[in-house]
Amino acid sequence: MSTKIRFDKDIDNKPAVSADVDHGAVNTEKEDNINLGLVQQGSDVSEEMKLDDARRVKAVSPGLLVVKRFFRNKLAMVGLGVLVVLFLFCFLGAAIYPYSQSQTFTTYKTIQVDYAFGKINEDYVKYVTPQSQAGRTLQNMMNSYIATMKAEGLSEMAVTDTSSGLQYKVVRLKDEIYSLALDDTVHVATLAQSAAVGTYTANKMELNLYLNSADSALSDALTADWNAKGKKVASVSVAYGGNTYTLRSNKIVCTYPELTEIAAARQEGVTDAMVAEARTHLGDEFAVDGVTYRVSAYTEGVEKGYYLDVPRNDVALYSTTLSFDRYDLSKEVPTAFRLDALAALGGFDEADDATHAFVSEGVNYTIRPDGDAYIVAAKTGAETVDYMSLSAYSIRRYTGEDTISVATKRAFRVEMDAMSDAGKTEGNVTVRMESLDEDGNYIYDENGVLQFDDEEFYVKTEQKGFGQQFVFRNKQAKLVADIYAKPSKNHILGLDSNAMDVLARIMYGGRISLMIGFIVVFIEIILGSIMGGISGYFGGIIDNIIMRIVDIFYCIPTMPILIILGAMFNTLKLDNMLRVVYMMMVLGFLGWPGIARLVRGQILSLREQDYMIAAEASGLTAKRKIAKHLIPNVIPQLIVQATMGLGGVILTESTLSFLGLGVKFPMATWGQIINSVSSINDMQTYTYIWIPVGALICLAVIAFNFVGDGLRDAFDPKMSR
Amino acid sequence: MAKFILKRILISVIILLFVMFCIYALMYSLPHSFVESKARDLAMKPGNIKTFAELLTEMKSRYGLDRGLFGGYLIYLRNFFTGNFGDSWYYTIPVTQEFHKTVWNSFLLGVISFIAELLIAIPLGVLAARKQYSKTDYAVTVVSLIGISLPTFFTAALLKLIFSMKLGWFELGGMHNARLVEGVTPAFTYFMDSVAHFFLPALTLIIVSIGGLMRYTRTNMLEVLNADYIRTARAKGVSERKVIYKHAFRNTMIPLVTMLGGSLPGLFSGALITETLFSIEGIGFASYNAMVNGDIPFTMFYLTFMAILTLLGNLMSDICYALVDPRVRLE
Repeated sequence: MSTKIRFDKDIDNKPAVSADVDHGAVNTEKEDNINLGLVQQGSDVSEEMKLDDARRVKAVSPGLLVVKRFFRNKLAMVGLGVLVVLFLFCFLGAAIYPYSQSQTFTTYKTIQVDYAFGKINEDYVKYVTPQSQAGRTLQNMMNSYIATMKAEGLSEMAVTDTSSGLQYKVVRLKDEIYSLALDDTVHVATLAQSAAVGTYTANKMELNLYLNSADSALSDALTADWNAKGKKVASVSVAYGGNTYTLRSNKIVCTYPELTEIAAARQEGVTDAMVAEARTHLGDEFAVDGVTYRVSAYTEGVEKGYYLDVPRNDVALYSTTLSFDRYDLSKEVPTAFRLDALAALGGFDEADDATHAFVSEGVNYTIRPDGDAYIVAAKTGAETVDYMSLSAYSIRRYTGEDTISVATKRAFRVEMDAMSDAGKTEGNVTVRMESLDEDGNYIYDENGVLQFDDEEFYVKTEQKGFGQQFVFRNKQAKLVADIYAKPSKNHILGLDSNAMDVLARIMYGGRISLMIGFIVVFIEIILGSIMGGISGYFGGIIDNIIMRIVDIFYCIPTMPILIILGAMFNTLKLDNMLRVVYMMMVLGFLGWPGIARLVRGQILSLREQDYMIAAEASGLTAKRKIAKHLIPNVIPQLIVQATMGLGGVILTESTLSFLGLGVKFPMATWGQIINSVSSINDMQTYTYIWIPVGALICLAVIAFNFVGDGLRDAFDPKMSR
Repeated sequence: MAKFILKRILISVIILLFVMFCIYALMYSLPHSFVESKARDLAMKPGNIKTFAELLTEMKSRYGLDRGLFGGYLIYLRNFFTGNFGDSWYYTIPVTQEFHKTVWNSFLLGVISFIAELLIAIPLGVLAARKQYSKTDYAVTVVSLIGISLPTFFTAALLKLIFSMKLGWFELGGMHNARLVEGVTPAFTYFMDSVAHFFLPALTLIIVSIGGLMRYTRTNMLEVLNADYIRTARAKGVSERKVIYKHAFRNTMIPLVTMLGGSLPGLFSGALITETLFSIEGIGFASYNAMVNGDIPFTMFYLTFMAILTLLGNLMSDICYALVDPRVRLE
């Protein structure tokens, strides 16, 4: 009432309102002006109007009145504004926003990464020489032999190869290197007094000379002689070429007048001079080039003479704790070099010499000690280049690759030692080393020069198997999913737990949330107005039945049912889209009774009104009466109810999604976004994700309620807000 | 009066039967594999001595799932009305036992927040109506609309963030500090611990439900204030105070009491979301766990319980209406 009075007063006070309207004035005045404008259209401007002027009354249609009343309501206008912005934000914003709801973002993050691991070698690694004849068993026993020797403080230990019966010797060359060498003597030449040279079977008269003494002349002579003698040949000797050939039980024994070397028995490396030397040292030893030869007599059956023996101590394998670290990482280490280097190192005594030279495969090398390690340098021409470093530390990249430079390894080694000595489990080491890119490769500048940088490593010991391992970790820039990124210029609300843009998800989520709201309310309205309409119009028993159905639906608790269905969908792992559809259907199906009651009540009262009696009298069909005369009059209430209901549906949906029982990831809704940070820790840390979303839900619902409220007041001024 | 109540009760019972049928139909139409997987879970639980097949048959016959919808419903009804609610699958104790354990916590929470709501919302609603279109009125309207619009989970999260995490005044969730033992700890300390745990859930409930009551009070008060007899009273020169509190407020009480009477049974129903968010071991939290974990016996019981409470609420609001307003004749 009060507004109306004001309205009239204004007209009286301002009889000739014209174009110079104060646009800054509050709503009420503005509307009055609009109103007056309308009035003026149908009337003379100068004419004074009475309060009950018929033209004035006509001027404002009921619909316009409603709009006017609605626009006058400040809260409703705020709500409407918010809603417009919200819709633009969700539907238009999502279209122009550069990111989509499922786009993930990555970033380079400096994170501590395991760079390398180091180990102080305790186990001996075998390097087997190509000439080795040592059996597998013997090779495998090496570590236990070394352990025994260490325990007993031995520097040599004799062992037997059970497979060949040969004697071997384990020798400690250095603490780090043990060798397994043959420890046996080998006949390299034979000086025979008598030797078996063949066989003769008398009764068959068959002569067979061993190949090494095969001589057709000798054969012929012997055959001729012995064949003639028939069976009495046994006691007969034949002289031939100064030698005497005697037959002893089928064996032809040749007796030499003096010691004769059997040429076929001579081994490689034996010279005539050595044999001559041997003749002068029968039963004795002599040395040539530092190798001791022994000449010892032998009698093997009919054979007699002297052997020239040479002690054989070929190295079968080296066992070492040393690791080979290459200076030039692009080159492989040849096995021959390893063996030669180990042999040379074994013979290198740092106490005597500063360096030790050796040759491997035609290249000259020198060894020099370097702390605990040794450095092998290659001599090519005048230049000496460090080629290899040998140490008891194996340091590798965490991937197992050997791509760490010797300098870095040395720095690591020092830290490992320091930590071991101090018994520490953690340490730090800063190394000036090659810069690495994110893939762990070296960085070169444009001239192809390696770039160096100070790298700080954090070292930690770790138990691995029975041994201890040092893990070197450094900070590396890695391409990672940028989860929970703080709000920034690119991502105004930051990124969520899946590195997706929160703002984009809010936009897309808003679409889904609003759409669910609209569809559910639509279902509710359709069902509710049909049921309510039927109930109110027909009355009687139909009304009774429908109202009892409404009662029943009122008693079914919506939220628990939705939770049960949500849990069931989770168990069944239902498709996300289907879930949304089911959820909307259930919400709509459980939500209609309120609308039905409203519509029925309205129709019951409308039915009694005069115009309905008129409609009845003019013989309109029931369908037409309902569609033309009843429904339109219920629509205002329906609109109000729908607007208020929208907020409710959004609340229900977001609550369900928040509980993980509604819409699920990857589909976004407002509740789902909050659900992604629902743990206590996340909630505290990532307030920039959930507070804006929560506020937005709130804002949307408030706006719907404001607008609904405003509409109700506008439609039904008696309710007075 | 007695006749009216009797009639209402009868109708309520009939409605209840239908509601129970709906609930049973819902449970019945849950996919078959659901019960099966439940039986499998149950068979694997420690202490179980039955085989999967035995459990499945037992579960099916227990809930009449092997009888067809109507046969099964009758069995369910028989069980229900003989007080045989079965054992909860999730809690592995009889449903009624779990119910007794939890319902009083819910009731406590409900009563506390209900009283607080009344004490805050009614005076504010009356105030807003008295000073219609004033700043106070706008404030009350906006606050109540915000209260209605706030999602429970968001409110709870905000309160937790502010009062538990930032300020550390109240507890994040749960019922009691695990270190405190009832009877051993000094009674006051124990009580304060309870307060620290119950404060935020109660506050959440108050915030999200205060708006409705406030608006309801205001609307009804406004209606009464616009009535002719108020104008008459004012015209007679009755003091404003007397007009408001003797004439207007008393009449406002009629719809209020009707509404409040109707919501009394709801105090037992528990706050599903709030209790869950704050881990209050009330009927709401218990049933949430039961529902999420597919505990059909407890869920059926809870749903039926809710339906009964709703019917009871309607009945009580009708009775209250008749009791408070002497003008109402129920014949």
